[in-house]
Amino acid sequence: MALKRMLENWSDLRKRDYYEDEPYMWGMSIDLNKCTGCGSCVTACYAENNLPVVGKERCGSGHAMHWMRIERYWEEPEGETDIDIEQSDYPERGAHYTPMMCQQCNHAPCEPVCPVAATYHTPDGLNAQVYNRCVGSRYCGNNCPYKVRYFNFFDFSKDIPAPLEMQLNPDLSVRSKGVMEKCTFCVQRIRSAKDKAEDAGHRDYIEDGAVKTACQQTCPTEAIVFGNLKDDDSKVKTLWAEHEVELNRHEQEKVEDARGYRVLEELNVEPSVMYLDRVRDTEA
Amino acid sequence: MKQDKVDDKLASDCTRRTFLKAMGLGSAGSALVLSGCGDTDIVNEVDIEVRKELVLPNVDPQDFVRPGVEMYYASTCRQCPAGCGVHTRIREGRALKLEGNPVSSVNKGSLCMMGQAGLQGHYNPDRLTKPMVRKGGKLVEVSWDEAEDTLIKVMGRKNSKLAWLNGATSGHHAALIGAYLDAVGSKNHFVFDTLPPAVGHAANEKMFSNAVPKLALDKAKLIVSFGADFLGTWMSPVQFAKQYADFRNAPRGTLVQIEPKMTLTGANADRWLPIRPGTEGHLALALASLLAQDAKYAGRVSSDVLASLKDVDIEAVAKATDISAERIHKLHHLLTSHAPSLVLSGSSAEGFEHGSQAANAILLLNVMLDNVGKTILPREEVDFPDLHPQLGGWAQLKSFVDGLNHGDFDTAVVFGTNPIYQAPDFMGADKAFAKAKTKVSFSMFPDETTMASDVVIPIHSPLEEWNTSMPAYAVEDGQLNLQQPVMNPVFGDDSTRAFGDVLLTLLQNIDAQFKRWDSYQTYVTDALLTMRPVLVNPPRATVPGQTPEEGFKQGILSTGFVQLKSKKSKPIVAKLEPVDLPTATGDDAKFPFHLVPSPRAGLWDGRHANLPWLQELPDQLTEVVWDSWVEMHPKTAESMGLITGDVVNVKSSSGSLTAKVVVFPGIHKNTIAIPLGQGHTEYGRYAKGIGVNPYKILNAKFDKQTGELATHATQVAITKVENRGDLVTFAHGDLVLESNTSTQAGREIVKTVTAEQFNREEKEV
Repeated sequence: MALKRMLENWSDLRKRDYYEDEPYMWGMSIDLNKCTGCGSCVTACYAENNLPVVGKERCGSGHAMHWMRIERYWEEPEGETDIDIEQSDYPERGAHYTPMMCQQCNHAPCEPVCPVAATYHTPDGLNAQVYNRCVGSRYCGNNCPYKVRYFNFFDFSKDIPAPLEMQLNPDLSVRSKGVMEKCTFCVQRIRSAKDKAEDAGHRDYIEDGAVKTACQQTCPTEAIVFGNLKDDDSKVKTLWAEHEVELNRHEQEKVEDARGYRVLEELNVEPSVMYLDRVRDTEA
Repeated sequence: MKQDKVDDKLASDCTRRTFLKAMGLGSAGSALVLSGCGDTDIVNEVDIEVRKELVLPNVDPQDFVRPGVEMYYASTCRQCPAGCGVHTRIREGRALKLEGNPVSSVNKGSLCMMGQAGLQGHYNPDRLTKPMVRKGGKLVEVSWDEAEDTLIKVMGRKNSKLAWLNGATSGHHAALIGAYLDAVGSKNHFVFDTLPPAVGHAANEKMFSNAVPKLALDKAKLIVSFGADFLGTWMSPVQFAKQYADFRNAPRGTLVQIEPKMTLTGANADRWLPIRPGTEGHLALALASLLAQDAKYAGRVSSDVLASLKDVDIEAVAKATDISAERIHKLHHLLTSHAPSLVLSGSSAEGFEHGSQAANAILLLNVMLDNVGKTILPREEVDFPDLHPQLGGWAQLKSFVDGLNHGDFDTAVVFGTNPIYQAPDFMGADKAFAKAKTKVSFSMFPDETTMASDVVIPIHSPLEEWNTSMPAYAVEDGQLNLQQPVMNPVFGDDSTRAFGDVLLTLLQNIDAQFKRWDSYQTYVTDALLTMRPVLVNPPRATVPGQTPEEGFKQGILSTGFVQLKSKKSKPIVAKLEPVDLPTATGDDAKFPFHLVPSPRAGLWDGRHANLPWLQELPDQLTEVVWDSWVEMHPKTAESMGLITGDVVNVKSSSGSLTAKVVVFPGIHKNTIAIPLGQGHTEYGRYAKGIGVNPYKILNAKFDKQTGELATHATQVAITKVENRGDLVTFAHGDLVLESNTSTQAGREIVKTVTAEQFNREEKEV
């Protein structure tokens, strides 16, 4: 019976769309033409999400808990560059910066490996982490191609000296030892905006811009845009469309001059974050 | 009878004038006269009692705490002199998050990392919570009563030998400090802040008659910046980042950055050029001489200036600057093919004995390229000079130290700056400071200067006090930012006090007219109410039953700033002087490396070293955390057999320090850079004992025209001390051995397209 149903509905079942009836699909766009790599987003994320400061030694052991980090590279990716690489002893074209955080993959490699289903996908496209359920196997962190999952090797919250703890955001928990954590797209802000919209009588609609992630809110060059990919009028959807990046395509069609791409897209993990190429004036 | 009336009127006018002066509202000229608006003395009409009840509720939990409901209060960020507007998120009476105020013209809703970390200063576990007085050589905590008595004894009387040193300030703090010094009869007022570019301001003042002209980065098609790190640490980084974002929109502007050590701005440049330190002016001069070959550009400058541009040998400049003649010609071509452009002079070009002349040569390019009036705009005239920003500089610190050394001062008061930490060893600031009979420090933290003082007054954080301030670099002239307490004092009512309140109490002891105000809050509120006639669109009552005063106060507190009317000033007429640069000198055999003390966006000049979020925020260029380091070019490191993590001794003729090497490609081969910010010997658990302060080993060299410290003129020698120290960097896996490279290992993580492609694509969109 089950087989029959499968065969009859084969094309429907194979269709790759996520939660068709769900009004939200959260996505992001990061413009590397504007990002200066200053790191304001990193600190904003610490402030918003109760991220612990771990100190020098633990940073050295790779235990820093920066959900959002700025990656800095000096060189172009080999064989992939559109601009001529000049021979020089100096990086005359500056640095390559990119903010890197959980890409909220829709085919997330972290999700199927969790033995207790602590990480799962929400209908609105978030890769969620249930702290209460997490047993700390760290399989998810191992499987993440972006290395954006952070494990609480210690009870960092116990190290917060008074009165610094007064700053902690009451909208989300302070994680304890043995728990994996990562960027949530500021889920607490999304939930509160949803509640407010529902209070105002819009069950399925949050106005574009009503939810801003902490990193987006503080970005001095407004390089980060966040919003609902299912809202055709949203800024983020417009940007994705303009730069010809779509969900449900594991490899984007190469459009000449289009700057949009998703990092490590070829892994078919369906990230929800689109980056726009860095730009340099080769005439200079 | 008639005569009496006139006398009365004169008398009341007179008190009114001194009264306005007391509130920092003394007028510079006839441009804006408060009394010209025909209304009577507003100050006298307002009942102080009523006012108090109205404005206080922001810190009154009963009215304003609704469990689970967040509120936002407008205030101003005081993490650096830029003065960004903030909205503070409050829940259950606690400040939880700072976000940019979208209507403030300074930052338009954004904040930098330092602004975000303002909360950690506010809740810092190492904040001073009790006043302290030195007894038997040790600072001991005392009650506020005792502290006040002591303060009145040492500061509450006429004393022409009192010296006052404060950090960059403005608004009513500046006004009240001025009033206090007038009252005690002291002329020894010094302002010292490390990073405001004092040499550049002086050069701008000389050439454009505007110390801080308005810069339109967004209007420029090309920016050539000689070491101005406008995205990181220069004047108003968030504001400039906003303009930079517009500048990068299609058609995309081009940025060329010329500096010996790559800054954050350099890392974002289309072309970053490493130049030999101290030769920036020479390069500018070479470009000017190339421009002068065309009558179009030569015609914009006078003949004596043109004469100084003759006989510039491009090949010789290329040799001196380490920038090839071909590149100089290409730069010349860029400058002539982009209009309008903008040429900036920053601290790494200005930090030399010939710093003013270098800035002169660099700014001259703007005149030749006709940028003045297009991307360099005049400031409008704003009245009330007492409220204007005072940025100060090293020259004033030197006068302060010299005065102490000569025994000119018996009482030294320090507020909002930390000279003992900042001053180079050769200045002997610590020994000089010890010479003052009484040292008073108003401080939030146990910094070096505070711990060397005799009377320590713990003050409120900027989130706990009332205040006004003006941005160091204003976008809209006349913006006066407001601060209001967004929550009750963190450490309770009997702990810290507002600086304004303490100073006002002192003033009341000397000058009875200040008894009119029972607190700094009423002083500020009074001043703002008095200023209403000269404000642009002062808020009015919006709720029925509200008095105009109530409406005004509510309105300005929700906006977070007021806008003073300003008067259009005349267009800038550049006053040019011939450029007079010394011949570039060769390398010093004994001290072969130039030392760049580089400020970091984050720790700034060291004042944020006690904020753990900023200690753990990786340096934008080297990705090092919680440390000091010596940046060195890979070729140089290789020739000396050094790798990242090796411990070296850096020696100048004035001193030496020890730090770890970071092999870093973005630095001129003959240069090393040591970041500012660390090397605290006090300043709380997060700052104390970490790293070194490169300012300490600077040589006694000063800019010849302004007397500012030549921060970039020191040369050093390097010797290896030991292998691999405990340096921590996030530079991807290559923790210690090869941090000069961070490749993408074939993965397409950040890819680059050309500006031409970008402009084409954006056009299609």
